Amino acid sequence: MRYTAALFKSKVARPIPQEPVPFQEILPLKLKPAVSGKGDRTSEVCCLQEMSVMLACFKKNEFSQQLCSKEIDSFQKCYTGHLATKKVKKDKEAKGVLTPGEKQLSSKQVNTLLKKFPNFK
Amino acid sequence: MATIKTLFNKCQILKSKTPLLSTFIQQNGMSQYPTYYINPIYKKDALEALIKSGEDQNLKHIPTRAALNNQTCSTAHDDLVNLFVNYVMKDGLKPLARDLVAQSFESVKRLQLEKYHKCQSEEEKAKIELNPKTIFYTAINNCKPILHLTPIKRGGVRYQVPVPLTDKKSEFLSMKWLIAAAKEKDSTVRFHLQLARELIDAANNTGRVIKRKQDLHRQCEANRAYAHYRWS
Amino acid sequence: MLKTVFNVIKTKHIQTNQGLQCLGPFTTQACKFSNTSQLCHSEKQTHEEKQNISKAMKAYLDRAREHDEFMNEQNQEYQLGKRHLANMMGESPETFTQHDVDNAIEYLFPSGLFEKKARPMMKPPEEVFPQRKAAEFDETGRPHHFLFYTGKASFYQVLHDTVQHIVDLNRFEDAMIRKGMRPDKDQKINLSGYQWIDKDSLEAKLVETIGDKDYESFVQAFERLCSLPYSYKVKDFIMEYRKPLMSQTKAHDAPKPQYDENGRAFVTTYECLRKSARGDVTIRSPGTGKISINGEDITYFDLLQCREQVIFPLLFTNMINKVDIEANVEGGGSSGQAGAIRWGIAWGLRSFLDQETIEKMRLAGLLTRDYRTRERKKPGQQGARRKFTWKKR
Repeated sequence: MRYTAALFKSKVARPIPQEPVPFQEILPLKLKPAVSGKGDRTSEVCCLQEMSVMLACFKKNEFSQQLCSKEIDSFQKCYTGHLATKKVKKDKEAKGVLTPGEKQLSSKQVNTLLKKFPNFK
Repeated sequence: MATIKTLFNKCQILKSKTPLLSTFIQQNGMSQYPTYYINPIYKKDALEALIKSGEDQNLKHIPTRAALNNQTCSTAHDDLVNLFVNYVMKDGLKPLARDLVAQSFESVKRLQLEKYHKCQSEEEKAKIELNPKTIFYTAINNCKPILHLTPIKRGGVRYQVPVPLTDKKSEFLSMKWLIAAAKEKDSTVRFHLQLARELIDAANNTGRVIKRKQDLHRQCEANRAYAHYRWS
Repeated sequence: MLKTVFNVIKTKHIQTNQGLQCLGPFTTQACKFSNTSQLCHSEKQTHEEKQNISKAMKAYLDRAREHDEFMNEQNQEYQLGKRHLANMMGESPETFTQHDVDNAIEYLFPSGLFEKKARPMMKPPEEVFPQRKAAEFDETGRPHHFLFYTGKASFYQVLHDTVQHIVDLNRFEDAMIRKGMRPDKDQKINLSGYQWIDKDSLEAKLVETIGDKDYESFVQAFERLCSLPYSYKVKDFIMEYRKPLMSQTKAHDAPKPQYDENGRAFVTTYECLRKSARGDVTIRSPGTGKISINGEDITYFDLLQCREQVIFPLLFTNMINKVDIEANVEGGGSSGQAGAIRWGIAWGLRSFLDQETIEKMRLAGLLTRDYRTRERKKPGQQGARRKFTWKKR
């Protein structure tokens, strides 16, 4: 019967200390002219402040809505406004349209920007 | 030859004279209408408002879809009631659903009139709303929830997270609850009568449906610590 | 005689296929076909300076000649077939138009095929075979067009023109601002009711194939041009690439009412269709609001919704007690019959109303015919959309 070397190997082998491979710069380092869309998903929690105020009011007034109409109004206004801005933003991002002065950019917007100003050497 | 010719002419007469919509350039999924067709404006006052604002000039060259068979310009017609009828409907029995809603409106009127005539003073009488449609509208409005709970999984644990509702969704929930409450009854009580009672109760901000809404809000309040988990 | 015509058509079809086959492989980028006039012109030149001709040009000339011969042959056959057809139909071959040809073919070879393109047809060869581009380069092989090497010369030419217009208009606007003038508001370009021509017609117009992205940039460029305040100066250029959504006269020209023996005006609308219901509606004016459907009054319909539908157009136009309605319907259910009558009444009422009310009726969706029908059941499914319950085994 023949045994392969692999069978003789002990299961808890002591790691042999290896020399770290030194980094050699063969080609000049440079970044890609595009980004992937992985980091695009942002948390869309909105109106937390208004919500907690409204819920506190509900608790205080035994969940009757007439006494909290001001809080409810402000919460719903905030939410509808959030939905509207989200829609506009989504449309713009999908097209890759750039709005001057905007700081948070989607991957598509970043890509259009990078394409417009390529990094020549 | 002559017979062929006359036959041929007859064929031409048989052909349709009205303009056909047959050649659609842009397909819109399974829809029969292309994407640029607008929905009909079948209410007279809506149309008047449109003409007053001058926006009808923009629609001059844009074709409209045909009005649906449950849409009319009659004053008895109401969009929200129509929607409610559709929610009451089971197995496509629309005439039955429509009848039930109409009967429950009648019961609302009867119940309110009974109350009205039992009142002694004029002040009490003035407080009672007699129009079933107004009662219906206030009932729907009073039953609309603002938040609801949705399960969201974070780190292997399911959290019940309070999430705001859109207007359409809350309207749907309020109608659904009203119908569900009306169906929860003894077998001796008729649906339309129970629905009428629920509508009146809800319009007065009391009753089972209002309680259900408040319970939901109470739960949301208890789970408010998880509110930041939501992503939509 | 019938047989001969059929043979003509049949052979034409076969040759069509052959023709397409022999032409197919040569549609490469560098060489494109031309029309006859250019061919003759270049042929003369070939005799004069034989050594100066490029290989591409030579190949092109050969193919162009072949194509022209083929088209000539097809044309002759078409003319012959047309004469035969005219004789069969007992009409003069000289005055026999393409419209008559189409009608004759439809009459002689009735086809139940759903797809219109698959039905028998006889069209002039210019319509059957796709248009070819003329030579885009001279004898030495040098292209005429400066955008030739983009591969889509005409398409990029259109974009180029658009941008040129944008630059010109911007310059013009600057000059006007310096003079202190403002754009004329009355002349502002009104694009409502029009849309950009779709991709296929743009391709046909340019005789080039373009991609989806290209079409998108075409629309974007034109929208940019339209958004400029002085865009009305290039209206003709813009309108070349737009098509109307609807011709308004279609809904508005109503037939003149006829008069019966009592002197009452009446209009009859035939072919009122909805779902499977078919009917005709007669409107008599002046009347007292009498409605008769298949000899009965409005109680012909048991359902309230159907009754509502029947009086909808009358209610909408305030004609409820001013006209009499007589309707005959058959087929379909009550909802379909009511819908058919509704359309018939609305369509017929146009003859008794002014333009403004007709436009209102159009916006209310009364004059549009409802072509929606039941969606068919699909094999392997329970219904139109519903699938069978999934079972693992």
